[in-house]
Amino acid sequence: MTDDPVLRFDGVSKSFGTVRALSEVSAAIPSGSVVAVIGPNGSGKTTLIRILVGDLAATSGAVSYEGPDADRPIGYLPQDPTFRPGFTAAETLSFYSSLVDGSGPEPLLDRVGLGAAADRNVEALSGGMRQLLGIAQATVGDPPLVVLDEPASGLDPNMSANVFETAAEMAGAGTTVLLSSHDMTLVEETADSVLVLARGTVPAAGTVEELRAAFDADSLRGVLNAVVEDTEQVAVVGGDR
Amino acid sequence: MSRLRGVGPIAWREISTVVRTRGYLLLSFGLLVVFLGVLRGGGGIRGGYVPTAVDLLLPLELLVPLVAVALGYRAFSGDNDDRSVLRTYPVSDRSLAVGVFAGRFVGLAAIVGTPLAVVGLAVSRIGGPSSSVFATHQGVDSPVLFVRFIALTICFGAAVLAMTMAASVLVRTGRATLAAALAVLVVVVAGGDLLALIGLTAGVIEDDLLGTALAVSPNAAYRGLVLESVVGVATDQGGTIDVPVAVAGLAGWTAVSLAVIAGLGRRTVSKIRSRFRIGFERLKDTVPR
Repeated sequence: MTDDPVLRFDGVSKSFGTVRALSEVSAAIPSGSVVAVIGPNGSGKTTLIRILVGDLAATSGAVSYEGPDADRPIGYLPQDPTFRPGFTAAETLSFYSSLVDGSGPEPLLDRVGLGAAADRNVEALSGGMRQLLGIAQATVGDPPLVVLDEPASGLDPNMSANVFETAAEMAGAGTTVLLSSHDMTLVEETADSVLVLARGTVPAAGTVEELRAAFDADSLRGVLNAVVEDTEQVAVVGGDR
Repeated sequence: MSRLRGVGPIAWREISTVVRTRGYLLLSFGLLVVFLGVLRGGGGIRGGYVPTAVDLLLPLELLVPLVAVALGYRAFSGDNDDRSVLRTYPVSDRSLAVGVFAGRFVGLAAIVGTPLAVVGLAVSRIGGPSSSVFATHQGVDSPVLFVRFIALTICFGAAVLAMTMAASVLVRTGRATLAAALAVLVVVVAGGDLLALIGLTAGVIEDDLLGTALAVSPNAAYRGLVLESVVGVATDQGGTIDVPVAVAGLAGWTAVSLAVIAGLGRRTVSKIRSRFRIGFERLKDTVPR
């Protein structure tokens, strides 16, 4: 991990009509690390990620990529990945590779443990395998930043752990991994730093140890509970947003 | 980034999707059965290429939009929608639009063109005595005229396909996508003619401008171009439509729809929606409670 940020959020806000999903979010994502975005449902995690990958436009503020030049600077696994029916796992990755460097799908499939399922149609893959294929897709073209939106969603504990291990391995190889998750145990074990989102703001950020110390909590779940409680109180005092 | 980088792989993926979808093969076979049924009833196949084109013209005005809707309405929705992922690749919205359209267009050309080519082959075997004459001068039936008929049919399909895909991009969600595609179907099949007729009876359109007004409607443009450049050539009768306007109409519908698919329309609609919302909010503020 280096102190140079690969990505910077500057006062990012997003409104959907009268509903404000994000409010003045600012943060810097250090390169070569696993950064976890945590928060309750509806806190703005997916909105922040969709703005980051260019799928949504921010109402105000800016997201700037400051990493190395690359053909594909950011890789992305959406919350609910979809794949073109009728194609095998290998064909699916070959298509995405052909848009970047044209490399073969085998190393990507092997990296996520799907080498044996290369010739299986995507419809015949289990939920966990689809998620792994999505992660392999996110790494096509070796992007310096890989964004995984709830990569462990719907997976059994072993598969979830496998996904987080893969994220840690990628960070070990120099790739920055930004992921959102509700699995506090795995985040605690894997993340180098954590961004806590609550009601569209970032009330807390830092390493797991820093957060535990700041909120006098014995776990990340305790930190999240304390942050959410504080934010709710602020919201009640400040009125409805 | 090259403006059209990625078009090839994207188009190839669409072609592969069409080839691997058994329903499209059945659709093409179904079209052949319908064509042969229509020709058996109309007797055009024995008359030669031009009578065959005349017999098929009306059914094709309905069937081609149906095939275009079947091919286009889900091009950007459900499992086919990976735009959020593709935005992280060096592929522009323009490349995506052109690639998806090009691939699906090849599919449409194969689905519609193959049964028409089989019909053309049948005409050459059992058609009238002049059906083997390769000539385009007036008064002669010719396979060249039938090839022109197939080409015009495919161009008509391209315009409706682009319109369907544009509608599916604008609405985005599953059920609404189908509704929007069906709306395109109704507008293409009946809307243009109906509007021209209403305009004529209401006195908005002058009698001598009817040909021009009709040429703007995709199906009327297609019909007019077939009557002018296929039937009219063989029978020395034409003048039913303004040909340059008809060509510009079909090309225009295709180009505008492609622009919508490439994102221009989405941004415009988003701005319009936003303005409506602001206007509505202001209106609510002024209404006494």
